[in-house]
Amino acid sequence: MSWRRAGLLAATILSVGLLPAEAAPPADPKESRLHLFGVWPNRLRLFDETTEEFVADIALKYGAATNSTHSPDFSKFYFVTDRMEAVEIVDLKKRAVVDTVKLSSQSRQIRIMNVAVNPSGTLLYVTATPVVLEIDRFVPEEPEIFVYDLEAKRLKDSLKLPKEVQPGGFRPNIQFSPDGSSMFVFGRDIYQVRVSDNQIASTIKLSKPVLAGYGPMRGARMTEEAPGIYYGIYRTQDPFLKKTMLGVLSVDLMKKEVESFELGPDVKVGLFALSSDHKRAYAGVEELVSIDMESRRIIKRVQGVEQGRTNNSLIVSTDGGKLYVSGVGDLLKIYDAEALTHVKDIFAGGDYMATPVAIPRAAATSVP
Amino acid sequence: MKHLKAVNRKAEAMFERLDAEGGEVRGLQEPPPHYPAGCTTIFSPGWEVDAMGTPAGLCQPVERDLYDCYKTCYWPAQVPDYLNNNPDWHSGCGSATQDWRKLDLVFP
Repeated sequence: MSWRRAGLLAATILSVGLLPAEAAPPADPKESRLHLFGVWPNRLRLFDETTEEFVADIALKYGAATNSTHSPDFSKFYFVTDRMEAVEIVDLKKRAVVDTVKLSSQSRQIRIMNVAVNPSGTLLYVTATPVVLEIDRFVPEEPEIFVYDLEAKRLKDSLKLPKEVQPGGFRPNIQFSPDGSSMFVFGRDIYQVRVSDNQIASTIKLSKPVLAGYGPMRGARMTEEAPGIYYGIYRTQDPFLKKTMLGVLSVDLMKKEVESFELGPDVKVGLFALSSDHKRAYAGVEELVSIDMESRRIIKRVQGVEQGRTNNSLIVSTDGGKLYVSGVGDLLKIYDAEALTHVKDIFAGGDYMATPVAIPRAAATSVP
Repeated sequence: MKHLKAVNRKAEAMFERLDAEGGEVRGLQEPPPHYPAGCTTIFSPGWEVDAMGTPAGLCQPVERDLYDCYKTCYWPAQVPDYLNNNPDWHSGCGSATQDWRKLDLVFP
């Protein structure tokens, strides 16, 4: 069941290039981060890596959060709430909801699946399905992207993606280029759509193998490890031996580069996280493995970590010493990153409602 | 519908309407989708088993997954529908694995 919460689905990919550990500026390992959780029934909770405690709560106005995005500097978060009919804008330093966006009318509900914000923070792109209530049923319309002007506080535009764009998943994922001129839509392929005319500028092909002799590849959840740079794991089946192999892929949206390397036979993992220095990676969590990104090998593997549908968030502490596993249920599980052993569980105060996000301390505190 | 026989006026009216519309009965999920009043996000039968047809891939315990199924109206047949009909079903239960007895009862 965990597939439905996957943010990004990459499908078919292979390359022969290097996966550079120095591709993105690593986070400062000395500055530990905070993690922002959506927790039952209507609150956000900030978890501090340093003290390993929940240090602040922020009340949402309209109930549980179902999805979110954030500004590039992490200062503002945009949470979908109110039974998928509102977007609450949260100022982390103020620890408060500072604005709310609602698009529904009495006869037409706008069910919000996902949100994206342009880099300047002026326009909110709301991916939604309008639903009209008839006498005995709901009739959903085609999904649309509503463009909301956050400064003028009014709906500016609505658009439908070009027909060639096939956004994947229940909650299609849209990311903006740093200059705001393009939005990238993740699906079977990654589509670059110009904001100015809503036309496809380019496509990063993921649906076909780049080299002959390799089988089709299936993607997994990918996470943004640096602005515009995504990492995740993939699987592919050898067309001759029928053996499933596991690998790591990265996608640089701006350079339009896709790179990957194989790790070996399949391992029961779905989540991927990179250490702040980008030298070590981890995947989990039915099994838990650590990956040396320089030698491109699995250097440690622990089996039987979680059973069934596992958690949906894996975060490496800024100092690289701990792994935080959470997102489903009410526990934050902490593992030792070196030994891959369970250290302790922390009760989150209620069931998770939104997947946690690691944020720089400076973005959430007035005094860094 | 040919194996069914109308036994009252409402049923007869349904048959008349079906005949007028070409006599077809279509599944709710067929395009254009027709969601019963309660679900508006997705049509996804399942839940009792995982993709392999077994319960091994489900959350363990299964209560860990209740709210993710519930809050997005993902499986409104199996879990009450948060979006339209039962927004307060979970209001007394902060942790489904621990407090599931506090979940409200829902009668269709």
